[in-house]
Amino acid sequence: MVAQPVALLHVVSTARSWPGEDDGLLGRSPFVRESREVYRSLGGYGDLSVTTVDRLAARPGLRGLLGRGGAAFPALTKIRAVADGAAALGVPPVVVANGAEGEPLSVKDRYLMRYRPHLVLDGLLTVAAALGAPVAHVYVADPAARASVETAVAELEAPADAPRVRLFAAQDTYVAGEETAVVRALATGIARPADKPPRPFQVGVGGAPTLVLNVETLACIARAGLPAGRDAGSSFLATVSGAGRPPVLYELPTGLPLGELLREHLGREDSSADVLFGGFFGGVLPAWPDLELSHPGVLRRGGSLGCGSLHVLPAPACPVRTTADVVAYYARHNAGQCGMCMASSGAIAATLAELGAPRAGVNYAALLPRWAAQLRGRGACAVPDGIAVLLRVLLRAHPQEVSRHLAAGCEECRRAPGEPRWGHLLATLPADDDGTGRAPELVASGGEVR
Amino acid sequence: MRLRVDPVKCQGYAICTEVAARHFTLDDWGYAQALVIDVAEADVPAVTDAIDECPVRAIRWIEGPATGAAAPRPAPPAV
Repeated sequence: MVAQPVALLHVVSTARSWPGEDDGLLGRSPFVRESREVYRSLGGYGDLSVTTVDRLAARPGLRGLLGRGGAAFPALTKIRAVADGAAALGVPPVVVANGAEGEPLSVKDRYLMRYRPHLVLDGLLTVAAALGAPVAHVYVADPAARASVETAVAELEAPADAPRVRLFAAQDTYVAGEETAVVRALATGIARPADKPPRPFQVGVGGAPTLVLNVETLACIARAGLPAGRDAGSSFLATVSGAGRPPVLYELPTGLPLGELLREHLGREDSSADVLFGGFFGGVLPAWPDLELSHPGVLRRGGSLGCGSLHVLPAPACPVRTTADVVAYYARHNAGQCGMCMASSGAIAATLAELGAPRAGVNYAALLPRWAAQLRGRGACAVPDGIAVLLRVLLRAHPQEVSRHLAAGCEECRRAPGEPRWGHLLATLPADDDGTGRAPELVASGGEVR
Repeated sequence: MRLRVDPVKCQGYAICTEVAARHFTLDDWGYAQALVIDVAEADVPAVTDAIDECPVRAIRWIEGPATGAAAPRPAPPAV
């Protein structure tokens, strides 16, 4: 195992709300753990007796809330599917807060669990109560986040009939947070994806319909229930890194133009930069100032907002090189179980890496779009789709750059280091800080904590 | 009804593409994928053979029209 180049890690120690988002997801005192008392003083845990999905659905903005794990699936559709499935089967559903956060450029889920654990737990308990789920799981990899949630569970003074909360120590891998991997981990300890259909909301843990919701999605549901609460989908968390600037965890109004964010973050207009979107999933898009930061907005430009992270490439950076870096990561960090994924990710990573000095006789211009088409919808998890998005965005948004590589190679691509060539694309929170001053317990990964 | 090749199971034996060439194809690495088309009544015997003859039983029927996904997927709401 090659040591990570620690100096390149983007350590996120600043969190900022966009003006007008002060009562939002980040909390009023960023990076200070919010106690149960403070959360209660905001009106939190006020509606744990929500006993129907319809009452939950009446919260402002819930009907339009898209899941924040990356796939942007409508949260209420999933909740209703679990309710209907459980009623049809006559079994209690299973509810899971997904805090695995395997995306290397995102810290927002860990932030919420470390510093706003009660906001997450309120959302989880509310949804579990609405569905009549007797047990609610918190699936979390980061030890400091787990310690904070564990403390929050101990602080709970929930009614006796409230769902029980159980923590599960997730493996710290890229695929562990994929929802079928979550279900398998809870049932068997093996955090690897399974082919779909059926999806977890149809058949999940122990055969029961299982609701797996990202922790930011749950925080949005809880916020929409607070007295000062806002429309559930009105803002989102974005880990913004790169361009030689200190990384910042922002809370942004949904739909903010990219140009406004970059003017704030970089202190200048810069439409010449490129941005890696959605963790490693959304592709490298030019920093179009009018690009609307929402799931439909990024989708319209061919990419994906994914988990909400944006990494600004230091100009002049090569989009081919960055795409190659990310596919190299996928070649190393896939689940290692699908032949088509292992073979294709390795081959595509190697091919992209050689575009700095392309070989004669290889028809790259035909191969790249064909591979993008062949990988769509193929995997048990979304890794092949992620590679397809990266290739498609590279071909559509950077055709001149691709042509330049095929004609003349590229100095930056030739100078790219060997593995881990993605080492400049890793973000983290300050080590072990859970805002309590208490050192987190070390618990072996892949097991139930309580 | 459509077909799905389980990528965890598929080892690239390619028997499906021989038995039901109109419904399966191989990618550049030799792994099978089901073409996204509804299976016509007349093709069901060949497709059934492909399912039965796959050494690793990687092929299954799934619900849903060829153009949609198996999961409920409403139009994205305005955000």
